[in-house]
Amino acid sequence: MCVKKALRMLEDEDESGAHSESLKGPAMSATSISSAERLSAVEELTTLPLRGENPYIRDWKESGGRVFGYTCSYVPEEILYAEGQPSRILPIRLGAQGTTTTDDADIHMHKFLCSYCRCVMQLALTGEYDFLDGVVLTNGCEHMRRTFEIWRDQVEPPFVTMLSVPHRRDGDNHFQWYRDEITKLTDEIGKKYGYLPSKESLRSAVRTYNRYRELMLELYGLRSIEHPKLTGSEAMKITQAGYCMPKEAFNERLATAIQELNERPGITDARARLMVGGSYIDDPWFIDIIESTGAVVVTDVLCTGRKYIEGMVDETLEPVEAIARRYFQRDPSCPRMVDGYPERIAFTKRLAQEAKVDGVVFERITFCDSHTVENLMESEDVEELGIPTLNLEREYLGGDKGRLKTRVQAFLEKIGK
Amino acid sequence: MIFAGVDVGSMSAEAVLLNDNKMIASSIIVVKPNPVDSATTVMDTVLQEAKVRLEDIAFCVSTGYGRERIPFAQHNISEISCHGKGARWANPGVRTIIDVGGQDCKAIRVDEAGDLKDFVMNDKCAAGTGRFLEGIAKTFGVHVSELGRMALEGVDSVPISSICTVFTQFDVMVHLGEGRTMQDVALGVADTLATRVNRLVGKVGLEDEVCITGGVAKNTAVVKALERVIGREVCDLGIDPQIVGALGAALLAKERYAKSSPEEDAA
Repeated sequence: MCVKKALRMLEDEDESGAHSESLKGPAMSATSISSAERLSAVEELTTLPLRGENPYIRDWKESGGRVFGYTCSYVPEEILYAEGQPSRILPIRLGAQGTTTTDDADIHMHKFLCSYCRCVMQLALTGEYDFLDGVVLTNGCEHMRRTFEIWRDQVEPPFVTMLSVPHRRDGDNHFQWYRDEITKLTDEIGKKYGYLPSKESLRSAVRTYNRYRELMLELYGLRSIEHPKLTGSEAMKITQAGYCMPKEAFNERLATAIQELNERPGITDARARLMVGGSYIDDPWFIDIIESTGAVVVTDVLCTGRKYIEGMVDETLEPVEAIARRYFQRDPSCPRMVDGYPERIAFTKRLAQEAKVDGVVFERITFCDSHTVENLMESEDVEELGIPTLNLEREYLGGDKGRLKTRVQAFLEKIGK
Repeated sequence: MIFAGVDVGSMSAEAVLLNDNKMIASSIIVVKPNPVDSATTVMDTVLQEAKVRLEDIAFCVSTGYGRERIPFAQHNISEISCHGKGARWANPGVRTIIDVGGQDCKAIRVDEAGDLKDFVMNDKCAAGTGRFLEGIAKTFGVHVSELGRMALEGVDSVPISSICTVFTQFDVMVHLGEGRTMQDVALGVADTLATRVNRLVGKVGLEDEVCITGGVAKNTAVVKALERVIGREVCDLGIDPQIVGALGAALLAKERYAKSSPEEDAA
């Protein structure tokens, strides 16, 4: 199908969504993940294999679906997921869990670039992400821009694009810029694959993602109660599973997992209740170090955690407009935004108080532009509430356990825990 | 009643025995690759010195990077709390402690009981630590303990700009190649180290008496340089600054013991 025809179809299409052809999305076959079904939902979600080994991703590919990778929470996933709904494109958030070296990435990237970016690039360069049909990156930070360029030039994936997100959100022009970027993304995908999302498919994607956010908030609710039903490490693993599964399937498993967790006894012997904030984390090793001291991470203000699920897409508005608003104008924003600090710190304070935390651990990946200053500002402001904070610097790669654990342990000793 | 503290650091291990509130033995060894071996060896030494048996120890606390694997310790506490506790015991006026160890340095503030109030540690870099001084000593072909005396003979401090331990050694070679004396370079090294440590002190804030602990405190030139940059005299602890961590661990062992068995404490 040529783009013009596709565009015409989009225009012609009525609200009932007459795309009968595209409705045959890659249905999840029960047989291929039968091994996973023997596990409880919590077990399955906390042990889901990564990347190419992930059965949901494999099934999606085998039944003809495309898989797109993205890194930044400003990539409007519903737009990708809605392409030819039920979806032909599965957006997955690119992690680099378990990476042990950045040797290949370091040929192209300076050591002064964020180690998360270098780890992701390492996987891309060594073929771990060859199963991806497309990659959508953003100008979230300078490190991410370099990641885009090197991915484009050295890996040469079938589809790669960068969504340019303005650094301010005030005024109509900035919003229009972001809105135009979405149109550009949709057009590029339309040109490449010959179809565009219908309004109905967008609405359906919005409903799925809103349901996902509701369920995830429910999961967070089980952490911040007096006797948390799950550890921070488990929560992060479940979140990770959500990044790499079709949201419909994930929602179903998560609903079951929530039931299972509700039946568990809560954690009554936590040495301290902590909150984590700062740079990108998707690998539980860092949370494991904190929790190895006996503390429990009961909530977070991470863009890979609580901030990612904050804010619903308004289902009453025109879907693209509503999606653009939710992604671009949501609060708390990313600290890469010039504006929005008052809302970010208010959010951090609110969560810290709601979850009755004994302390907040702010971490930043070495050379992280966005969080180096932000963490110090938030840290000072949180301490005004009488909540002590600890500032840590880390690399994305696991390791350095002793150094970090000593600091966390001393922090707990300092706050009398 | 006997309490023990054992501090297994990155370069040396120390043990201290307390009999109630009196220090009865202490020892320092160079670490072995295995923290358990280091702990066992240094503990054996103090036991022999004090002529007591391991079974006589009521409670033992381990600290230092090897703290988690010490089989004869009932509890482990971070070296940060231990240094604070130990220094405050040695000199009751102390509220700020600068600890320069083998692999990291920290600025610590404690309250009147010696309990941790705040701390700052250097980030993943050995510059400004004992390891840094060892590297320089190696370049000079002398033992690290001679570096302080050498620096005191320096007349004109050589500015050392590099922030990295490895690159500083290159830097030092260049200065020597240009004809600067080892004494002047050693003085420059002491000044650099003091400047780096001062950043931590600045972050944690100075309060009342300040002391320096850890092996590097034995380098008089570094101590003098630090006094210069922080603009204040550093107080004397009256004990070997290298055993302060182990001493703090022993004191915390005593506190811990009292808390866990209040009836015996009362008796």
